Amino acid sequence: MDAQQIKYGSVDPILIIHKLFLDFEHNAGNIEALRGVSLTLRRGEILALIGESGCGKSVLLKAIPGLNSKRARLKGGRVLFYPRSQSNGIELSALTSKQLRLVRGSLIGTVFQDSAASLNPAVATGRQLEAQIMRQAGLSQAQARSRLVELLSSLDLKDPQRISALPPQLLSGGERQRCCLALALAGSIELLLADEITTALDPTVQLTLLRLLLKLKERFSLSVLLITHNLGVAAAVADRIGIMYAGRIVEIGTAAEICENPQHPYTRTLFAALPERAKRGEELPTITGSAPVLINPPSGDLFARRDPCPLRIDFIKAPPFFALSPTHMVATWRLHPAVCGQNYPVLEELS
Amino acid sequence: MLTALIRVLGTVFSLCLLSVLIFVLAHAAPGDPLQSFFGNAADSLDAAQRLQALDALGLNRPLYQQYFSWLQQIFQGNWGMSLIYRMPVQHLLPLYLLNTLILGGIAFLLIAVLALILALICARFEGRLTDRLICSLGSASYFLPSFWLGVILILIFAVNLRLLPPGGAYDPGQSASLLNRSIHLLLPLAVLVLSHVWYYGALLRSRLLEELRADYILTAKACGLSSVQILISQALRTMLPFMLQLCAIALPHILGGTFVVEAVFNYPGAGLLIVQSAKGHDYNLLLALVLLSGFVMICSALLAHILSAYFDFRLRARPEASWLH
Amino acid sequence: MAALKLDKNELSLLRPCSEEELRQLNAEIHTHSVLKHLSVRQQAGLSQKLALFLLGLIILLCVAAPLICTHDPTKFYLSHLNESPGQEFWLGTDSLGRDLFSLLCYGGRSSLLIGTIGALCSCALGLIIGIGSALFPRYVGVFLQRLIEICQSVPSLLWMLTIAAFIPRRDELTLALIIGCCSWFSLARLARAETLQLQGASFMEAAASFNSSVFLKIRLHLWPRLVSVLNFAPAAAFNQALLAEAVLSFLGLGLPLEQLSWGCVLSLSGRALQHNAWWVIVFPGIILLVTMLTMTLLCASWRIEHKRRCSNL
Repeated sequence: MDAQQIKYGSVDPILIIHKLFLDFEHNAGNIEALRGVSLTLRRGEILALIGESGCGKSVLLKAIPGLNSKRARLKGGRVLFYPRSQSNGIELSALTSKQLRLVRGSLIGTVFQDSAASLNPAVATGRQLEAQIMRQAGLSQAQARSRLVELLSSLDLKDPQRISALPPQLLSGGERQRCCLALALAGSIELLLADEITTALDPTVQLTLLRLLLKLKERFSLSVLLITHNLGVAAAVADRIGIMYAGRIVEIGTAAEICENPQHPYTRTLFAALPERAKRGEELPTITGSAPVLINPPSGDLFARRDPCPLRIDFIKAPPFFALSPTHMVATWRLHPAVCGQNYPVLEELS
Repeated sequence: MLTALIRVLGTVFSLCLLSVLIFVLAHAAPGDPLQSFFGNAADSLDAAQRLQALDALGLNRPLYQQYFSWLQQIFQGNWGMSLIYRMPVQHLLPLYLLNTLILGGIAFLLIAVLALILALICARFEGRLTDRLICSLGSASYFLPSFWLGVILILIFAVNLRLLPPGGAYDPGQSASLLNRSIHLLLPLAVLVLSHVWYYGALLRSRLLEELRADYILTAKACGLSSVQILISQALRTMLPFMLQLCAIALPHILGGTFVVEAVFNYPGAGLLIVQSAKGHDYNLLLALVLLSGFVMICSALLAHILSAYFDFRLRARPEASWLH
Repeated sequence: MAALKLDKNELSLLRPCSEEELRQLNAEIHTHSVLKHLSVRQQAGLSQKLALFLLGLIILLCVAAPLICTHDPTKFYLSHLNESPGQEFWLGTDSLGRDLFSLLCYGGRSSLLIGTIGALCSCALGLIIGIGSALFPRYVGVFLQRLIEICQSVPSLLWMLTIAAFIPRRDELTLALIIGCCSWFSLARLARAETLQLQGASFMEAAASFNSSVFLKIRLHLWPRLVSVLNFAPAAAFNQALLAEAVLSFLGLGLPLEQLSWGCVLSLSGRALQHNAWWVIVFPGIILLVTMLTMTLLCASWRIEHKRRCSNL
């Protein structure tokens, strides 16, 4: 554990995911949802993970606090968590479910995409939030109620009384998602996992929620792993952006680097396909095909099958990470010295 | 408030329909109508006396007039004469009804509690040995015909092992002894519970499993609750209206089961009365019992609906228009 | 920062693909993915095969009764009263001296017939009234709903007893119809609930916007949904009819005792208790139980498993 920390020494990580392999059992074979994902989340940063449906980003997010279904099998790798109270870190992937229960809600908070389905429809919102506050902070009901009002007003909810009294389905989408955030923030969490929290909202509400997220990060000293498929959302709030494809991270870097200088063909086509960049009168560029089914996946770079001009080696061997800068890493053969002419340092895995 | 009122009015309408149905059945009953009032003496009346008797009883008037006077009689407590027992029906019923209430009531409670516990256990250990074992044993017990199970239990415990009495509600002279009554209740209760518990257990289990696939359960897990806490504090709350509806369905179902069990164990309850009156063509008694049971069920359905509407926000929304138009 | 080692062969592949190679690789990918998407068909498990075998055996025994039974079921063998199972009488005799095995085989004919007709009648009534109460406009629909409610408020058995009391002479067809007409309530309620659930579905709004006719909507949307939800209904109705016949005959309100059916044999169990003749009680019960279990198992294999998601617990 210490050696790992020395490696990432200058970085002060709160979460280290190291070569995670995760399979789902299925009738037709095992679905390899995560095929060697490595990631470091630094304390106090917002890391956005982008990818299309089926690339494994939700699976990765749920794998951290162990929320995947019973069919998920961890085939290899570790998840290390470094809360402030434990300087040696906790290996989340090795904990039993009883031990994980102590971490969920109190140190790691999770917010999901569908806020309408994420709250119990038969109970008033206020009651659910109060119950969680009482559980996490050990307060009495009266104390929990006043803390709830504080929490809701820090989330910019104007009328806490009304919102507490209503069941979740009678609230608006934005209010509901904030209540889900409140539920996650009820304990004194350090890591917030947000799975597409803005996807189900309309654009104006999305922006407000993102600004709120930044405010909350400062106020509660959070580190956030944000999953989205919207490049705009990522560009707006993230410090670093990671691109996932077919169970692997293919490119990672600071927001500026990714937005201004995407190097992986997948990232490039994602940016090219943005409607904002389309020219009137021309055809909208798209990525043909669909996400691969990860049962017995072939070797090599899986994006090559959808790439309009792939390299021959993409079908044979998976590329390593080439580091364009200390923060920008890309896994593509196009950055090999023989292809691009430049000599970039090579990493076998992400650090 | 308005919907509740409409609901109550609808219930009253159902009750009226039921009473009309019973009245029509009563009049369609084969046999001499005078027999139900005078018993066997009706055979010895001559033609003039018959007409006089029919006039006096109002049996010559148009049907709707007869219906309203019949209804009036019912409300006044005059339910006719029982042929087999030679007593007014309203004097005959209370004791037997009490016995059925004891048997059916205890069985209902036991079934409700057991079914819920079994469903919770199955949901907690879904897919594993416990779940599969409970499901197979449950299905087997559901298929056993209840009267056959009763006879087998009598064969084993009463005839061969002589541990428990073969029938009746209490030994002669011991109607007030709780211990005696309880011993006599053991076998009938066992049969009732065994034959009904898995019907509701399976329904609860499948509904519970469906609820567990909802997103809010995952949120609860992400908040740090344990499986047991999630089952009890989250899943059960959303299942409360469903459970209440099941209770409403269970009442006629279990009551139907008590009829058979009472017949097998010779237990002096409403079920035994019904079987005897059906065999003996005692229509007054039979129809009075049918009307009574229908009344109880309809009212309990209304109660269940009100209670579930109180507990479930979802039910308060109005249903949408028909998709035919 | 490790150095990357590629051998000479791999180094030669660091070039863009030619047209021909692309075409070939795409063809490979296509077959690869198609093969992988083949869903695993549900194979008939061992239990289903066993169920089919047992049910077939029972039906065969009943149909071929005259060929298999060694004794006449209506004959009273007065010298062999209450005999336990043995060489001559395979399943023993009852207190009147009748051979139990023959009784069961001949009785099975009536029982199975009543079960089938009763089930058909009950399913048909239940579906028609249930769907009708949800589909018909305003007053007819409400009336049908109230009808279902009041009919369901009285236990099916009670209805059957009442109507059986009114009809003194009952043969198999009459009994089957009585049973069928008193057991449709729960199916009607379920069918109505399913049809109503479709009302709020978005695809129904879409169908309405296409001006689909009612029959098309029923065929395309309602029927598949009903089949997937109510596919347990035929087996359940059959079991219920079989059981109802047994109960009614046991209580003395089913078939007259001269006729043979499983229920009539079971109604002998009262006397059998007095003589401690366990075979008269056990064997008919077992055959009834096995018939019902096998029927249910067979229909269970048609059920579509909704393995949509995993439990979140």
